Amino acid sequence: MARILVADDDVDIRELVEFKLSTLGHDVVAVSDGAAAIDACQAQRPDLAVLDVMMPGVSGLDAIRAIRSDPTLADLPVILLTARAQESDVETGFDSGADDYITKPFSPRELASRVQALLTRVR
Amino acid sequence: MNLAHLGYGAAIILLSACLLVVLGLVAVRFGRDRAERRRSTLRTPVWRDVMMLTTGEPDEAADAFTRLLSAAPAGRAAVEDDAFGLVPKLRGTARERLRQVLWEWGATQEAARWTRSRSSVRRCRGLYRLGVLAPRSPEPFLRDQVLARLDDRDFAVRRTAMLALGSFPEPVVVEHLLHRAGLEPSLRADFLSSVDRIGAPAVPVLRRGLTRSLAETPGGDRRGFLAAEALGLVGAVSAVPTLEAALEQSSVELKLACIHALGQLGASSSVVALAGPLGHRDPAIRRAAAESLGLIGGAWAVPALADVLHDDNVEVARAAANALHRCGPSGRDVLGSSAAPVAREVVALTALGSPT
Repeated sequence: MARILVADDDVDIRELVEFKLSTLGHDVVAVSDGAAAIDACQAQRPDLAVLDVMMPGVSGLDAIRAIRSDPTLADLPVILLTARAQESDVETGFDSGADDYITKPFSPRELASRVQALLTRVR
Repeated sequence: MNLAHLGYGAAIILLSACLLVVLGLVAVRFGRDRAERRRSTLRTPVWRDVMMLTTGEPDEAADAFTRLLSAAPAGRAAVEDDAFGLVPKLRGTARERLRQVLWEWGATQEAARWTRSRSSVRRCRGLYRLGVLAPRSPEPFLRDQVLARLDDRDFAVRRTAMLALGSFPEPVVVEHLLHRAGLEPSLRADFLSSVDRIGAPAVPVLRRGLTRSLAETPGGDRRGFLAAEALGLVGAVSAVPTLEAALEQSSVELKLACIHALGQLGASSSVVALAGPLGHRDPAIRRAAAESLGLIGGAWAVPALADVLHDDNVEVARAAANALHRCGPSGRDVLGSSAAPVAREVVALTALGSPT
């Protein structure tokens, strides 16, 4: 079991990801914007974060940069879940420090598999 | 009865009226809260099944499917809007399962009825839902319901119909989309979005549309520009010769559409055709040609782009420099040895690690 942070301003997506990961036995912390994601990372110390890119205020990319600049969170595995599917968007996502990139529309089961794979790799 | 009595009576009436309004508002609020609580109570178990259907393992999803089919009408109604909102966010089996449930609930028939409603909002909702539910092998009846709304009197309905038709990958649909978008410039982005979703089945119709447009109007018309733009968007490599031939036309709009499309398609054979517009008198065309050559890339594009580094228009020269940067080592060698200010600018920005 791991603690996973989910940040997405779309309530349907947040609910879906939270439901799927909870049924797998993970402890899920869900927030709706980038600033709350950074705060939650610092306060809750998750084992992995799933971030949307386009969120109000602080974007997912800015949130990753903030997470990476914090020495205590620099190694946190991050998956970007976003509707931005252009090649350049994927490049930018990885350049910002993401460990994986999933485009919307998405398959919840595929997301769960990637979460499991990433958790296994970092442990 | 004196004036004081009249004032007293009026105050009583006014106070009573205010009290009635307040009581009325409280009653409305109470009623709404109660309805919302009831909806929430009805929604929770059914929505949980929707979640299980879309995220669960096959056996869990099968159980959820059975439960959802036997859900009470009130429970269905409580989740139906949310379920329709969820479908476009899902992919693969999760999406198909949810669509199947909505089909089984009879949402298609209801949506088809809504497309004939007097309310434009309801017509839009009906069209949106038909687009979401459109099966892999579309039923002509449903498709025709949506096609008919391309001629609706209300713009929002025409727009929703155009977007919904992106779920019906049939040549006849593309013909109607192209025709409508040709008549109504404000539907361009929606047309391109729908054609992009339709993909390969749109290609023959778009090619025919471009050829016919050129045959009927010297330099082509809006239908031709849109067809050219869409051919690039859907990756119609087979249309490269048609687009290259259309570049010879005099219309600026058509040239721009063909240049952008050829750049997106990225065929190296298009380098020769795109080198011609680099010498066009219109800077917008020269710039578009330079950008497209950059998208194609490769050593073949380098000599033509190198000539444009000293273009009178700085935007054209900058586009050529950026394009050379994308052309690999030979392009970067030209940039490094050029004295053109834009070349030095691109080299400097690259050294700083900034995107150019």
